Amino acid sequence: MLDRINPPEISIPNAIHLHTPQSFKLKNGTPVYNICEGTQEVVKIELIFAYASLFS
Amino acid sequence: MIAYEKFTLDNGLTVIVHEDHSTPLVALNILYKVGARDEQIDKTGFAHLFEHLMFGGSINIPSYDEPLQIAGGENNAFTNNDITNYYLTIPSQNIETGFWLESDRMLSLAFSEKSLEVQRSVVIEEFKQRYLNQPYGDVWLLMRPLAYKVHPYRWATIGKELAHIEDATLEDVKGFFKKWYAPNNAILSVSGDCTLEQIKTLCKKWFEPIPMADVPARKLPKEPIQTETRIKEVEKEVPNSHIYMAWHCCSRTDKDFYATDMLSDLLSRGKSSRLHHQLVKEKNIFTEIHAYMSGDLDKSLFFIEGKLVDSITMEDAEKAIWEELEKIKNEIDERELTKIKHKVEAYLEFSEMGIANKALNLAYYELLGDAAECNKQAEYYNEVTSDQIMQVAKNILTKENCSILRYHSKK
Repeated sequence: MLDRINPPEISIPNAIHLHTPQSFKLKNGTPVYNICEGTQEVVKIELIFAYASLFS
Repeated sequence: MIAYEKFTLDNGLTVIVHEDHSTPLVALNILYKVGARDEQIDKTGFAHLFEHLMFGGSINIPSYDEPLQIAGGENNAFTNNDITNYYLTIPSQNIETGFWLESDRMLSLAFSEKSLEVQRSVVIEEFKQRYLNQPYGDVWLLMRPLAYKVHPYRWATIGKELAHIEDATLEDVKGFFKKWYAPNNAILSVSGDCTLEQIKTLCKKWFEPIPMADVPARKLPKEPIQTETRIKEVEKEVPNSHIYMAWHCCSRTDKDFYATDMLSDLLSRGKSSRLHHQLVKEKNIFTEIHAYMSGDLDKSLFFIEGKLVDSITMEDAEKAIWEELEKIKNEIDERELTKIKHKVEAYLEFSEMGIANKALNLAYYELLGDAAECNKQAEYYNEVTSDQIMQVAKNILTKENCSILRYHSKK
């Protein structure tokens, strides 16, 4: 008889393994990190500039 | 492209499985083929009330949320005119917790006066907060009965009036469950870090013992063809005057759906779209304006809604909209159409990001007839011609097919 009262056993992962990005540098020194995953024909590009000011 | 496998259990539950091992997560989506259109006229808002009751404990599990959260999962649900949809995401090693929870509430709920009272109060507050107290919140309560006279789309998902929720009895909700919540009236889709064999095993264990039910055949009244413009004027304590226009159009499964949807995109998708460019930027008549179709399973509505600039009269705003509609009936630039096709393709691709979205998409297209259609949408949009769009515009955007809600600001 199926036990519907008690929950199935659960487990907590010891570690989460995320995909490791490939990395290389452009000739001008810009570092590029590339993660290939998923099956959708979609690419997301983010440019991060090392500049910021709270008051600009 | 979403690759998937499909099978049906002996009790009629359709199951779709999409494997995506990118992250150690899995999404379960259960779509029940029941929505506000299946309610009785004197018991509206029941499909949505029932969505709430589904979180009030099932026959063997007093709390739905707690064990799910302990297992690292999260969940939500929504109801519309046609369906009630439940979804959860959970770490893949705890996938069985999802099957345990969802199968138990499909089996039966723990119906009690206390649970009904709690959820009834929540829904009544939602009705007041979102539809009665919020500026423009009552638009759909006014617009739906203006556009529909016979079909149950004439009431909003939240319900026609508060009293229907207030008067809901335990017998009413039990009857609603028995009638619609059955494996042979649902589609389960699972997406993420799982395998087909694993899902087959879990389905046989948790869902197959649930008996099928005699789901009634749907006999909804057909909305008669509208033959004259319908106008409703209201004046309310809102910041700006708005105009809402609705035209009857095809259903989601009709061959004209894609042309109709692209008509709305040409009119208002993006800042270079017709209505925004002409009526917001060039003529400064509206501060914002949108066009869209409801895409329901039965005959739908095509909407235009605009927020008027303070100095503009309702008559001038309406006239400006009609002028733009006349233009699109007669000329669509190929470049303009290509731009929209690109936007639609990007939208479709982005809608397939994430395992929960993929699970929902697969279940929804299965509801429409075949999950495989999910992977053909871009092709269908791409095949639409400007002539087809102009023909659809001529057919539906007529004065006699139009219902107008003039929502005046009391200033």
